[in-house]
Amino acid sequence: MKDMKKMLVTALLAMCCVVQSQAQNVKVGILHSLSGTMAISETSLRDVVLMAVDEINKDGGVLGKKITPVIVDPASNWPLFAEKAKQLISKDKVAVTFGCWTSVSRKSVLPVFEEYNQLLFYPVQYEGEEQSLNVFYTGASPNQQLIPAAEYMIKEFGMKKFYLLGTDYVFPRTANKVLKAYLISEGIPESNIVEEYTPFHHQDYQTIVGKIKQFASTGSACVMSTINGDSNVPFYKEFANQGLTAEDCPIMAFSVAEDELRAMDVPPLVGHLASWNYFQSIRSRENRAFVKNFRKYCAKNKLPGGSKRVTDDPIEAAYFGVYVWKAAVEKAGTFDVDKVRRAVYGLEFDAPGGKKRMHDNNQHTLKPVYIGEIKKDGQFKIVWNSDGLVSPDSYSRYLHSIGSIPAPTGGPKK
Amino acid sequence: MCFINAGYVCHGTAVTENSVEGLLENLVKSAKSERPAVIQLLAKSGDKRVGRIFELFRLGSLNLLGEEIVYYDETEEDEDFNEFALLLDPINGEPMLDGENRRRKVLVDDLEEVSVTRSERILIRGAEVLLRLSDKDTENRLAAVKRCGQPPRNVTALPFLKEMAVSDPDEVVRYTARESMLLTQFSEDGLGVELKDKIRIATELGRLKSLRALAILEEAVEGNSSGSEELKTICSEAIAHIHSHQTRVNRISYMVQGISLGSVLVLMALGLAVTFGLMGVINMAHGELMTIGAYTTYEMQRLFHHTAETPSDWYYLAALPASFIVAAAFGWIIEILVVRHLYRKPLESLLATWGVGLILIQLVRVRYGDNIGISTPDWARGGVTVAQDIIIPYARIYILVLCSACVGLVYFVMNRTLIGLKVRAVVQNRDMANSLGVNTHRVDRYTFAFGSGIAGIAGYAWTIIGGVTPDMGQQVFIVDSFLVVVTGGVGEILGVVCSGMGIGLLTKFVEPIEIGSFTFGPVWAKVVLLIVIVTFVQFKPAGLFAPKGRNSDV
Repeated sequence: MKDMKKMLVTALLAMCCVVQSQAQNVKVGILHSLSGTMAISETSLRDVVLMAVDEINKDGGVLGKKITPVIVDPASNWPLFAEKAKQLISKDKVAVTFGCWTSVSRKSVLPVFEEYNQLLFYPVQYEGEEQSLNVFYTGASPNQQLIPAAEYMIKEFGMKKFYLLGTDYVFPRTANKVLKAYLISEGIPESNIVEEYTPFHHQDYQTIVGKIKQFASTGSACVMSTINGDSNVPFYKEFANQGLTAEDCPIMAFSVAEDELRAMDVPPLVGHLASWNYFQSIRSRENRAFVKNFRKYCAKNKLPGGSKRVTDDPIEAAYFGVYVWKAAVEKAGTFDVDKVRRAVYGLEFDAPGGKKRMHDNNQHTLKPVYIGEIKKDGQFKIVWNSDGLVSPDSYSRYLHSIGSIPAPTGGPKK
Repeated sequence: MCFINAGYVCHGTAVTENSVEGLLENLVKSAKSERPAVIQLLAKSGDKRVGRIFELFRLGSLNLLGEEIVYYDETEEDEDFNEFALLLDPINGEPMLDGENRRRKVLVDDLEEVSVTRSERILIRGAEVLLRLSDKDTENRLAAVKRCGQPPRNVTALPFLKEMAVSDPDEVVRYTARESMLLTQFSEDGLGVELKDKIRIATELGRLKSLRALAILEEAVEGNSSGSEELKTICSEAIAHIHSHQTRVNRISYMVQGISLGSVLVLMALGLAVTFGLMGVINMAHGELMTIGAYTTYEMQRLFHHTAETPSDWYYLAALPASFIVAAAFGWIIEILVVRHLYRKPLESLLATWGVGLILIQLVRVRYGDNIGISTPDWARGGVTVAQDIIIPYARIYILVLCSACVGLVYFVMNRTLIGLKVRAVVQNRDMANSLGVNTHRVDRYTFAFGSGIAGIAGYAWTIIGGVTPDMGQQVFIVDSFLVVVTGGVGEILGVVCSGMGIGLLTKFVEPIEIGSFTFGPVWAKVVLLIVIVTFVQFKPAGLFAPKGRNSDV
């Protein structure tokens, strides 16, 4: 008798679960490295996506369904990204995936999303030269970050010499190609542009800083840095120790945001610049509330750093990505990928950093551009912002002539 | 405003149109079209307080609170993360107080930023340079005189530069002022400098060995404008002079950088030379022991409440013994738990210690997360100028000294103490030493802990030049350490020193080599280095200093 009861209860419970998960839940995938080299950056994105999911669920979910996040850890291992993506799509049957940081991980999962015709929201600024109907890029394309920064250097300081320094992989190489083409089009002679790369985890910047010092001795020189991750610390330290200041030769960084500054000894960076589409220091009620909520969320869930955590550009982009998807689903009235995709185009929405819009006919986002000066508390003083939103180029106009832009890949199967 | 600032600003003096207070009001509140005129007036006022006002205005740090003009440096938060600005007075930079002598604070959201246009910023930057020429702070003055010599050059600064080149108390400022003056005179055509003066200036720039003059001198030689052959020859001579100075500077710099990199490498490899070199344990967790040293330094920083803003530099000295002890303790535990079971099984010990390393990385990650910052003590910032254009950072000098001390310590312990004697005995012949009454197990444990402690010191030293992440051991340290020890010869401290320095110097001399438009850079320097080492080990498999005699097959 007792056994019967138990069985009955179990069966009932199981039925409830099934019914509930079918009727009220929709699964979304979170594909960010939680271990390995990229964990330093990507865990924050997982946290903020979970926070957005939490908020939406409290607010009644999407189309009346609660969101169940499915978190996988691709461990900074690029082939593993593809495997985990496949698992999310075919085993967990997620409706959408939020994930990836490095371009190589995105390139690794791209064929998977295209094969299954699923959606990925990619939240990080990247080198462009890609356009897949299965990805929405909520981070910046090169013309939304690099070009305004170079323009700022020329117009604000009258810079004539540019030292393009980066870590040796696809983003810096392509970014510098775009930058170089732009600078030459602005009349900077090629002999005044130096391009240099260092391997990942490079730590000894003595030679390079020595070269920059001589390069900058004539004045009107600056560094455009796409140095990635842990190499930034020794670079800025050496730069300051060799007696170079932001006044002699400012460094404009494209990969240093508030979250990275947490791990740095800030004094050597003070006065140097960074270009992004969002800063924590943007002054608005919405942004203040977002920062507050994120810190509360981190403190409540006992995440490392707790209430001292900061927000930055990729964190904002990852956060509003979830809301863009939600708005598109609601507009389409269904979770069907092709219909959701169509609903995304031209969508206007309020992000923490202000109003933004998805492009009408490409996969990217219209965003404002900000240039910030690093302050000693690890935050940015915004010194310049674009007039309104800047439209994204998926393929840079400095590398492709009009009419030769490749067609988007992926999309529904014919 | 007067009510609040009573006692600071307005003791009875009326705020007149052209006082700094009045001009500040005008600057912030007047129409954009009038601002340039106000900026000029402020610059001409000769008031010491204008420097601060300019900087605040240019950065957009000034705020309006109703009618008041305020700014802030710090903010405070309540439990609900609402941010309050602690108000400061832009006129004198002092905190603003309320009626009860407490600091005034308001919600940051209630402040309205004063926006600045690009042309205003550029105008102010020009004015600031002139103001800073008379700054009390030597560094500010130096920056300003340097700026004067760089395009766009400001002709109005010339008389000041001329005076400073003779009368400034600081030698470097005098030199730089002279250089900037000459650069301006040489390159600004509007000044009507005569040909013979130009020739004199070019000669002098050559004599000053001015690296900054290279570009304009080269322009004078290549450009066909002025066309005087004499000037061109003089310029070419000056260029040759400066070039030879540059070559000398470069050579010395490479040498210094090479030694500096070498000392870092030696320090990294020294602990490994003890555990791997002497004991023969392939310790793949060596890098993680350095990580532990680095994180111990972080803990000490927290213990001493050291931050960049409120430095308490003693933490860094206290962290030296602490990192040694903590890393040694970890080494001790690893020896007991893992290593001692695997003394004669090199492959197994390789795998097992690799596993230990992974566990340590994850432990660190769980405990600290991925992002921590270690703030360099103040004395380790900047560097000492040893000769014209050559600066050696203090941090690098410190590491060189520390490295020498550690080498000395290891040498002393191994060769001058009883425990060192026992270690050498065990290394030479374990069974014989055992039968002569040496407790080989205990010796092993001490040696391993000692080597680990040295690794901890290496991690500690690293924190003033590099970054700290949980997986730094694997990413940064382990490969280089093994490279140094293997090249140096297993079991020889002197070998480690020689190979570390050799690798450092080789890297630094290869990196800057240019062939046509191709530069080696760090990527190809590493390739060259590995080729050299692989070839070297082919011919001398036992390294620079191979063990000789009966011990050679160990």
